[in-house]
Amino acid sequence: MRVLFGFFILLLIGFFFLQGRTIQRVAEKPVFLRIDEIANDHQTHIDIAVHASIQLNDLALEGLKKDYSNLWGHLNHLYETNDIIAGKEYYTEAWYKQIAHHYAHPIDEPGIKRMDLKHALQIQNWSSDGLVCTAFDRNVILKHIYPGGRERISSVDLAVVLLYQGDHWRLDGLSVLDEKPQ
Amino acid sequence: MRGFSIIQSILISAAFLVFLVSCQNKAIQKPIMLSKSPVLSVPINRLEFSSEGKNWDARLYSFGQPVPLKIQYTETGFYLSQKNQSGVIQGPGILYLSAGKYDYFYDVSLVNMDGPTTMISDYRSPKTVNPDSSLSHQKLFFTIDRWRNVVKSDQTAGYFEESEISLPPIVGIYRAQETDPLSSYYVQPGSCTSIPLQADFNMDKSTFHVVAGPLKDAYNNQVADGTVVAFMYEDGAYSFRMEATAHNGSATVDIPVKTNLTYTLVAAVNETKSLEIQLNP
Repeated sequence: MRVLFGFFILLLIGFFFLQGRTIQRVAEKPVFLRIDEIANDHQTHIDIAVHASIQLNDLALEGLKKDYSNLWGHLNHLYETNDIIAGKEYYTEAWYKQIAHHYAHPIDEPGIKRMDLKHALQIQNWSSDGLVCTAFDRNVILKHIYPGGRERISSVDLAVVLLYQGDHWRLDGLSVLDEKPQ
Repeated sequence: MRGFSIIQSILISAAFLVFLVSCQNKAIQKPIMLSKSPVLSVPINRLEFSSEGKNWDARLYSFGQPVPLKIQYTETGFYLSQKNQSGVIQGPGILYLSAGKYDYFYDVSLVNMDGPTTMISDYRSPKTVNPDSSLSHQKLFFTIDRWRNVVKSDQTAGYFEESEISLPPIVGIYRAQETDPLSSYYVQPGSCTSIPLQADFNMDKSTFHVVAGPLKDAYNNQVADGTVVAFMYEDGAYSFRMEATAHNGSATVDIPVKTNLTYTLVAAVNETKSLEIQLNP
């Protein structure tokens, strides 16, 4: 009887041990607890002009400006490292799927770095529920820094589609309309 | 004898120089891209280079991100191909080749080979409309390809289009894009504008079974389920009130009857009232 009882206790301990091993421990903190160092470290100059049929208040424009700056911080990080995960909070699902096709592994070795120095965002459309924004980003000044220190500055015109999802704007589509060396 | 020693020393010096030169690292020349055009079709299947050496590292920077490449060496150089078959954000790109301390860059222009497999993205705002307020609907649409390039197309004259449309006042769930459930928008019924009222006497239970319905809005849509209907009746001395919620366009109550009493009944939904009817057992 004592042996049977001991066996039963062992079985119970074994069961709880195996159960404990199967629990997935999520190491990633929720968004609101994370500090986005890439976004915080990024600095650029953004001018916004509204060409949309809807009148926008300063609060909405400030929110857009902050999110657009953060987005570019992550786009530059993606350009340098191919790290698609760091900026996932600033991409829509469709954009994330698109960049995930080219994900092999983050690049550790130094390569080309890109900095965005200036933007002139022209808002073309703004949905009345505040969830969709389309814009042209004219004369975006980009600085590419090559290995070895050589720099190249260029100006590009972009068309961008931003969707408000979660609690900020995310990139859904982008097109390069023109590029000129400076 | 002296002339021979001079020739000998020149030969020794020349041999020494040749030895020194051969000991130096030879500079690796920039590989020559055999394709004359800077426009590269993506996915890249075979981009050939004439070069020396077999320790090259290659990266292609599209506007969005680096694109992983494979290198295959040939007798005269190497060729690059893409590791996947996916497209990119079209436009300027940089091809970066490195071998040891030598770095070479090529400005290229990237164009997706699969052509414009595009779809219209159609966003509606607001998602829910009600004929009581407005049937006006904002429609934003643009064309985008599968690699998230915003493109011009026949349907969208520019890159982005916007229009204000008036929806028909017919209750329903509609889709801006047939195949995309997330593009759904909703026309809800408005407020009740007509309340037909009927009552039948149930002798077994001694009750009047009262039906208010069909309850319709100004556009002949059935009112929303859950709309509260108030039934107010009086017998000359006292007044009473019962409430019921509408389901499938009608609301019902059973009013208990006292003998030899006549009730005057009216039903109401907010400000809208029915005609008065008399309830005689």
